[in-house]
Amino acid sequence: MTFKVFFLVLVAEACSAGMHILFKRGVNTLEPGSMRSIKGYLRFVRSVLKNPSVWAGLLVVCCGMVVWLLVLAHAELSLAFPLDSIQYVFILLASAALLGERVNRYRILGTFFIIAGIVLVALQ
Amino acid sequence: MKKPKGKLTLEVFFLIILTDVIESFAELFWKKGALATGIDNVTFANVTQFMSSMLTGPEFLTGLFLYIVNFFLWVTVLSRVDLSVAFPTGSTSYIIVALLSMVFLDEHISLYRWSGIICIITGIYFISKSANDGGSPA
Repeated sequence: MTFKVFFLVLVAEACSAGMHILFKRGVNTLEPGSMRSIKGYLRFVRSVLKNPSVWAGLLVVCCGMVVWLLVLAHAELSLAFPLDSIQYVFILLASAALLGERVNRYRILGTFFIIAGIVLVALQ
Repeated sequence: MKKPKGKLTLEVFFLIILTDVIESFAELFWKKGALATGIDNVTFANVTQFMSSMLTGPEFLTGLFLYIVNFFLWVTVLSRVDLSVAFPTGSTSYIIVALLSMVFLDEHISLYRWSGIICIITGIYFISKSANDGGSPA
């Protein structure tokens, strides 16, 4: 993997993390979506589509996807896999710092077990 | 605005797994679409050609459709649980891919892979514990 591809992957991962944070920020202001009734779910869908933070997330991920397309044309999909684990750290830090989620010891421990697991699975 | 923190119920857990399975398929379609352009080194000179060939292909459009479905499922998940719970729980997909490739593709699962799978399961156990024993009302 060349430096250029590595950098592109990092940018794509950062866009993806940004998308999750903006989505979460947006839906935090809404009632939780329930799939138990069609009417209730459509109401949820409508409020999601009217949410500016969700749209900002979609915009960020569109930029990220263009970058991804460039990566995919270069690298094997499997090479990009281990770099995916960077996301877990991005998301954990951002959830605590930007979303005010209560990240306790178990959650940190769990996230690190998962990162270790993904690296082991990718080692093959 | 503070919302009560949601528990990681079985229903939400299955929704998360579903989004990850759909995403794997969407990614696969896009990878196939990128290969189908026949351009394996994108440069400034051929980027327009690459994009126009990629964006009109059936693989790209199928992937896009799957991503749109996934978007609605994922915001539903996020409206119910913390991002720091939902996101790592999605790593279940690594286990599913490994097991599926063992069953359907006769792929050998190495000791590394098995220990990785056990690590991921342990991690998800801790995450669900952090979401469900937190003491905060659901």
